[in-house]
Amino acid sequence: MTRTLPDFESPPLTEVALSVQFEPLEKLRTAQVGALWTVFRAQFPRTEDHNPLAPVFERFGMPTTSAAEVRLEMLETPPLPRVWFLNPEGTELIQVQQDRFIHNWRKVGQGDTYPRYEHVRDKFESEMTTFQDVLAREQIGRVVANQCEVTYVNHIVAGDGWQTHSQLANVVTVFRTAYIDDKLQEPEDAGLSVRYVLKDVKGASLGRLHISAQPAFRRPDSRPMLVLTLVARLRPPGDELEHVIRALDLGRDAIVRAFASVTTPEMHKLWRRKDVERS
Amino acid sequence: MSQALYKDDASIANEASLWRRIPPRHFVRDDNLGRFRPSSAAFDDPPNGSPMSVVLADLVIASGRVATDMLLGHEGFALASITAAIARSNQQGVARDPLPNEPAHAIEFGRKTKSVKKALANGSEWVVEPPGHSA
Amino acid sequence: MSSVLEPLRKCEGLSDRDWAAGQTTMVVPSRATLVGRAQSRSRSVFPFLNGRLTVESEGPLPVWFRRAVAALDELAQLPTDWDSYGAGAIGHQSILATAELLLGIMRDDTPFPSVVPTNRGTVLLEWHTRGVDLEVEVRGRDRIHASFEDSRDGTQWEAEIGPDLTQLVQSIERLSERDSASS
Repeated sequence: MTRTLPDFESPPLTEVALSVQFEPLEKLRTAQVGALWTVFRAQFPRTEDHNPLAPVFERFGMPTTSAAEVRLEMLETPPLPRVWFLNPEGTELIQVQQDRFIHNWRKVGQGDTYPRYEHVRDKFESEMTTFQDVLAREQIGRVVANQCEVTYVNHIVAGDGWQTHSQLANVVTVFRTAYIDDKLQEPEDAGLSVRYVLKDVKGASLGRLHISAQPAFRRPDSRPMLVLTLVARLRPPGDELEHVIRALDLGRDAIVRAFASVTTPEMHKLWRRKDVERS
Repeated sequence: MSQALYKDDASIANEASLWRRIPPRHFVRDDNLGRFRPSSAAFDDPPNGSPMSVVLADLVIASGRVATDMLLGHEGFALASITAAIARSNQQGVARDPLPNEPAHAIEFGRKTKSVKKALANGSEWVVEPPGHSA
Repeated sequence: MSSVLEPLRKCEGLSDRDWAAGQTTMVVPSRATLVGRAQSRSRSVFPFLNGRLTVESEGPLPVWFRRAVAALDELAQLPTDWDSYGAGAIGHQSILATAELLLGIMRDDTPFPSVVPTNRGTVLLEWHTRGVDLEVEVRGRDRIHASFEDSRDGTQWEAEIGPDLTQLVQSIERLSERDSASS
């Protein structure tokens, strides 16, 4: 079966993150994360501690659009931080917490090219296998996946095609600056946030695709830029690693197609679009 | 022991009453029936996989004991009864399983789906009513 | 777009440090507007077990939620063998998921359910009123088993519920809107 995915020679892709959320592993504490790091240390010699990410589930049919976040904090037991394992170049990252495992890739230099999704996914799969082996060896528990997430972050810097934040419509197709009168001048800046439901072949809701475009300024030269972030979050068809990978593949497909849909043909020319036939 | 290895004991008549202790957490108000009744959660196999425990009422009585004796050491509990017929009509088997400290002990075995547990709860009657929970 | 009350951004990716949002405009914080104040994010803290239960929500919590927290706190404190037949303690994940589920599906006019522990360490919500029998076992977030019967029209269903709560929400709506005088 032939499948065509939009493809670009020079996309503005800056960071890709593949993430799996699972039932909390209560026995995964500081010492066990340290034991895990010894396995990854050669490739990821630096670590950082961060606040843990709250669990997030895509739900449907609820009357409230913003679900409440409920946390239990036990006074005797401090929460486990989210620990980063970083490679020396700062281009790759593994993030671990009691209910999350994430692999990030980012572009650092102008010459860096995106190593292709399949390469990033294969690394994620290999690292997850290692993680599961350590969990089994240390008798911590088993990964029971409940959500998978693919994130593509694009940094679109002003230059060709657009110069100011008021020109969002030059970059994205889903934003219109059509006024019914001339009372307003052009906006100082504009952003957008859109979400779409992802469904399976039978029409059942699987997850969501979130797209946001945020005006920003690049460090250190303060050049205007647009941060276009696409996040596909969906429930895997089962809780094994192969199901996680399948869900990530679906999420990535949705993101790549959506990126081509919501960005303008003019920007596609700048990014040198070429569609790829794969079988 | 796998539940598949148990065999229904035909010597336990369909009319036989099977008694089960109901903890206070499992008294639920059923406004549709106008009374308190056991939750369906009260009629489940224990987490270790063995079948649900009951006692055979006729053996308890024949030993000179009364229903409230089943609740000694279980303050606040109630006692519910279902017939062997109700159990069997919900794909459950009943077998004697005397224990050293309870010769009237028996088991009700079989897969306890949600609908089975609900049917057992709905088909039960109080032998010792929940204390402080009159209809 | 930018807010003087923009919260500290959590560091979630490697490229977050490459840019900054523009902060040139002072925007009236949402809490300073009548509409925004009602919808601003609120944080409520309840004593719970050996610590505290924290709830962040859009707007204030419903009046019935305090009763739900008290009921769940009682379940969380049950020792093993609370049923005299070897029951396990109630799992924290089931309790948290139940609190979230109730906030997501209950309306202000929904009768308060019976909050019941199961011997497997999960929470069972039961409604038996207004001709409806609805039981919802919460094993975890997105792991819910529900059964519904309506004696008025014979409707019944039983399902494992994942991310799509539509059927459950519709059942709660039916229950909530039914006249409480009729059963």
